[in-house]
Amino acid sequence: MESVLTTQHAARCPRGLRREAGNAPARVGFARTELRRGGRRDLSAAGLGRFLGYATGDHKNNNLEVDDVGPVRLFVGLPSDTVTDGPTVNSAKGVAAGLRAVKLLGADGVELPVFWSVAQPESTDRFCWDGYRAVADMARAEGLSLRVTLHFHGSPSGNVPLLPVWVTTAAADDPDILFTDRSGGRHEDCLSFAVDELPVLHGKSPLQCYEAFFRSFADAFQDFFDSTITDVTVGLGPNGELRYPSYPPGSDARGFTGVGEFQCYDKYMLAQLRQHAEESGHALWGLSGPHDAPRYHESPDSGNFFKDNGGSWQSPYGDFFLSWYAGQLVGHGDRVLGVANGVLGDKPAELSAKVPFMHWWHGARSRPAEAAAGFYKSSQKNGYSPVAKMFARHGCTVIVPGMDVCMNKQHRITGSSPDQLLVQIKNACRRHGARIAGENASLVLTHTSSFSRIRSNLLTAERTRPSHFTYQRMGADFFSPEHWPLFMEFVRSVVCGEWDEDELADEERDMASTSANANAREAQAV
Amino acid sequence: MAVATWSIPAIPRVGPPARGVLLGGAFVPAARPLAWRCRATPRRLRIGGGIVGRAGAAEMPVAGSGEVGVVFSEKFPLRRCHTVEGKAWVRVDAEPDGDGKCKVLIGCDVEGKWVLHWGVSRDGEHGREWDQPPSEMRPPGSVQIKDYAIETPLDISHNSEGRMIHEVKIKIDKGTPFAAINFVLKEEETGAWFQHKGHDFIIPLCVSFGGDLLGRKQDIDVRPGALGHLSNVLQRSEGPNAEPQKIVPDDKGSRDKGISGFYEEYPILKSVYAQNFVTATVREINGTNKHNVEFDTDIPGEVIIHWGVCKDNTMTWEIPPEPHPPTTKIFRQKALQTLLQRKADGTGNSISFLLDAEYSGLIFVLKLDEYTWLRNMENGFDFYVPLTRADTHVAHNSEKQKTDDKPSQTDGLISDIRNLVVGLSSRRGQRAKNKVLQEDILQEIERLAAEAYSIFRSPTIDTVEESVYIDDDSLIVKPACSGTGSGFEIVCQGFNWESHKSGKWYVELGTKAKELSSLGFTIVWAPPPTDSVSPEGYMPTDLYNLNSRYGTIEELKEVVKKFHGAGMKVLGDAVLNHRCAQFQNQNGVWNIFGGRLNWDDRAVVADDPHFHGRGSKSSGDNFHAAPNIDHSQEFVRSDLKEWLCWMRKEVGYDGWRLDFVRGFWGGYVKDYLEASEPYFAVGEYWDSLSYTYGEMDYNQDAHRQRIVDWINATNGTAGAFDVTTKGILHAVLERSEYWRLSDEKGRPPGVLGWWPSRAVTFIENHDTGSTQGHWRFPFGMEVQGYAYILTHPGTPAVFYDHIFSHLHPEIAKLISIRRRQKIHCRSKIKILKAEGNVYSAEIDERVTMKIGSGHFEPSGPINWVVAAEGQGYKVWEVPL
Repeated sequence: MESVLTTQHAARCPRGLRREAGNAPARVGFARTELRRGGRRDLSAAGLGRFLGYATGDHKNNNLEVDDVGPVRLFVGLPSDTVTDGPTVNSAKGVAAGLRAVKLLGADGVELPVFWSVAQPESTDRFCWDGYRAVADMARAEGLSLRVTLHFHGSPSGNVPLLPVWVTTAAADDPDILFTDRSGGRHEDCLSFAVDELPVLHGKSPLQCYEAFFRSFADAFQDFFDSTITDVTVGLGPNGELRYPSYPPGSDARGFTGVGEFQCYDKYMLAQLRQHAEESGHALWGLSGPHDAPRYHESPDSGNFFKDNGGSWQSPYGDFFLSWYAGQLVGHGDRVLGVANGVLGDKPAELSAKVPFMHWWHGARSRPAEAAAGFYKSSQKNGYSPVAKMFARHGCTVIVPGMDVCMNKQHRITGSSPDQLLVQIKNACRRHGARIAGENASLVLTHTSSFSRIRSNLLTAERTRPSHFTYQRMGADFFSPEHWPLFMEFVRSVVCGEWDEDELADEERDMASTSANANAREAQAV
Repeated sequence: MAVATWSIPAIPRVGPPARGVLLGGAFVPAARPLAWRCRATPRRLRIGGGIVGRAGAAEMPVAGSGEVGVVFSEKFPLRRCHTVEGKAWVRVDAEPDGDGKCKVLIGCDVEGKWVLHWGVSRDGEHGREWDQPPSEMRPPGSVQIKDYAIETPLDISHNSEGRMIHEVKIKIDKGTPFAAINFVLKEEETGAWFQHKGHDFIIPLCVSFGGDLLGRKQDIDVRPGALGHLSNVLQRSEGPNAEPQKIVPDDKGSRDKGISGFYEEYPILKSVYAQNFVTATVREINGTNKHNVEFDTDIPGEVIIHWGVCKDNTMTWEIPPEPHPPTTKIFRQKALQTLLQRKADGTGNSISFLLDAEYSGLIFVLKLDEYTWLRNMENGFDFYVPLTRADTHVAHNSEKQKTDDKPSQTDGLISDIRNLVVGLSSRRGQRAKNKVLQEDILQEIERLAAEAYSIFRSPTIDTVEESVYIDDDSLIVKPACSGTGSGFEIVCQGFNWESHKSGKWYVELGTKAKELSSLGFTIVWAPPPTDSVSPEGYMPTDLYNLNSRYGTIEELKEVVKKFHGAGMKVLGDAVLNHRCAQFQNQNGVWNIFGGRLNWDDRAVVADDPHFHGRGSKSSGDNFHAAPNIDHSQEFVRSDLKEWLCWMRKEVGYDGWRLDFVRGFWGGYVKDYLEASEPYFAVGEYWDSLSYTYGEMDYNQDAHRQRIVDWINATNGTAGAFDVTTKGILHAVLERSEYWRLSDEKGRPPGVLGWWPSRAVTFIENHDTGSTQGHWRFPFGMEVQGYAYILTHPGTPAVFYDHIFSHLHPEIAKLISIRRRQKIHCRSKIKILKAEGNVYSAEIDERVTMKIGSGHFEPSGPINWVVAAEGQGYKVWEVPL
């Protein structure tokens, strides 16, 4: 009964809201208390917004480890350029309509990307949170929860500045604080991990700046933590992922599927490499990075380094270098998460961070793309293991951004293996007890099998079932007639409520006939 | 065959109307001869069976009337997938035959056109390296695949039990130097590949190769070449047989490095598609309130129809009251499942039963087994059989409308989503208790999504429908990035053929930025920036060297910054078709490139004799002065994409003018544009118009079609220069033949008449005019040309020389009218007059223009005011 009433409320209020936006918060305040009291009982078109998985949580399960598995929460990402300067919310009306639409559809919340370059654009001590706060207000007004992602790097293809201006000027004075590749190309979007603790930014170290940023965020959003913000995701590298920017400078991390190059050629990284080499008694190994690694777009075979058999990666030198390189990455993640935990640890929000989902070349023995991005463990062990261990130590959820990636022909050419990779990441997380959450790599437009893949990844009975899933992301394509109906269908197939009981038969028939569908069968066969 | 024999009697009996039916595909309900055809159909077509039945089915849906009371009869084509199981085997005969050769036999017993795709490897190294075997090893009929493999067809023979098998025999020397034979099996008809656990099969030829035979280490990579197109119809089943057996070294194989015999079998599964049909026929039974429904299919074995009925076109499944046909089960209170009865002649299954006439339709799908359901191939939904006669017509019509009538974008957007959402809800949630409430919510969701969509879509004015371009309109997919800018763009070509001479062009052009911007230009097209063999820049060498005769890279960045500061976008002139080599190869041919993109002759197309390219054949026309780049090479494309992205970022270019795009396939351009995401892009597709006996043809559809085809190949990501319009304007102005400016359908005759949003109109550029003068616009007529393109839809481009000449004031005036009246690339145009000496048109009901010496004055209730007037042209506008 309660559910029906609230639904009516939800269905009616938009008209009012549109007319007099000023009044909205008051009404929503009511909705919010409802929400808190009833737990995750908010209403949506799909009835009670619960995932199937909730039911398994309700049953008394003897396995203690599974017991704490809650429902998979569904988020939808907001456009990455929602806020690009100071107090303005871009396409605010669109965001408002989008929020309401996904709320009614049954999503639990939205993901808000927050950029360092936007929130702290001009100086070390001035922050501007107004735009982001306005968005958080809108989400709260809708009764949606919020996952805030704190990005330290803008994306070259986005409309957001790469780094705050004051960081860019520091980088102009000393370009070596930026990641640098073998040919001297600088990544203008990414500070080298080697300067984390060096006072290179106007007398402060990047780590101190990150801490100040976290603290300012926590203060600015203090009143949202109890009600709206349920998750904080810390960006640990380019594209918010813990990785090296092993793609070509100036390009976009998301579009790149090559092997990539090592990024250890800024003078600070080289200094650390030299020191490490001397300490391990191989001073000559510390003079530079591997000379025989392939270039960005070359095949792993084109240098001697990543050759499947007898490549230098298998030599003692290769192991020395890759271990150091991967260790630097884990060290960086450890430092930043440590700072984040220090500031945000007492907030009632789940801490998470993203790892890359580099499925290309995963089939090659040397896993070159992953190695260049910093994922490696000696003697062909699971390169995600040290990372998962570090995440677990900080109680940080691992976000895997590839829940939708299916094997297809294109991927096959690059030796891609998304299945194996996902299993590998899950194994690492299970071994070390790190929670998993998911995202999709891209908007599902052409490969409709991607939705069923997400679905099966979410509704799995494994212990490594994601704790939340974020569908990326809102925008014109997302709401386009080509995509939106598919997405609706997907959400409604994952979120099930009481009125769906009658549909089970239909559902089953649908699924059965899908499997009769030639495409589906072919897709399975490959 | 069956179709032909079947339609012959129909034509003479039916006469002209039926011919219309057959050719046009329109449905003419209730025509008696058609009823005859319809009745005849099931009987005649059953003879043909399978595939023929499918072909005939296209014209089948027919409503009939008359004595037998056939209300509806339709034959639906079906595609069914069934699997064939079998095995493949490998046998190695270690015993040498008379010639001292050993035999390797590879075979399989599944029907098909099998080909062995194989190679040998010389050493013990796993997996990667294949070599072609020496010719004496190749069985007859082998063909070479590139330089690493051989394909040999399997021969058909019969085994001892008389079953047909496919087998191929490879003979090898006892002391062969090869370590192994690698192979995969390929089935040519389905294009499927059969591998062993995702890897090549390996037949070891010497013991030292190791005991792990076919079960090699799991992490060996697959061959990118062979598996890139790995198709998927074949499945492997992992039966116990699939486990590799260790070879038992054959003692008789004298040396420790020698061939040992073995035999191994592998199960294989092949999926085969079969064409079938199901016919549904509904007959009225006189005097009763019942229909007789008959289903007939040629699918053998057990077939169940899973069906329900519906009222009033709701498409909501209901179960009819009892009695149900025999062998019927009720499925979860939702549907009935009726087992069809095997036909006496064994050709399939059929059933017929009675149904109350109160229902408007019957919905069904076929179920073959738990996992195999067959739906309507046409739309992927359930089959629908109308049960009332009037309904037949309506149902078809409405369905037709739904598919044909793509609603215009603004209304269509909302109704699209609404249809889909309501469809969703009506199919699913009908039975829910809170149905009304849910409908409300769904409607609200759909309204919100449409609202959000309209806001998030780029701020471009996209509301005018694109349907002016009618050919293949349905195929045009809205590209992710459509390099058409805002729709209100006006381009200035910012250089001429002499601009390189000063060596400081960028600086000079920069000083004009403010002026061009205040004139109303929104985009400037800058000269080709790369280092080039020719000073004008169109013979590029090192793409990453942006120091050219126009200035240094710093000056380039500066000028781009200046234009950005003035609020204008800058187009880079990108030469992608060809590139001049810096070095000679060992034969003295210039085809080795230098600089950051140090390609070799693999990057050069193979069909230009001058440059000895090793790439593929060109995908377009060749430009003979320089090596044409082979865009089919992956590395070339990724390098070019990277370069374009680099130029976007490094220089700050907002878009591209693409040189000589006739030289390569537009699909590659799409690739490049999607990677570099330009704000605006335009390609130069320039070929000759059609002439007959030296006189230009009136109809230039073929010419503009070629340009439109190219735009289409780019998926609409780029526009193209409207060469057609320029050519026609030449004829119009030189000979005073203004009638040419309206095509047979009363629309503008150039690309802008078909696809205005992608047409970049111009009257002169650095090639056609300037000091080259390849195709100069009729002298003294330039203003008329500008009066045409600056008032018309499409995106106009103005040539530098014209702006800074005596034409300046008139061009400025025309541009300001265009800006003031908000004419854009999709503006609506109505041609009012196209005669010998005058042409006039009305644009967006706000501007009227005329060119030519003839008389024209706009009329009508609108109070037209003269906005511009000059030699041979006049423009009126509605005062704001």
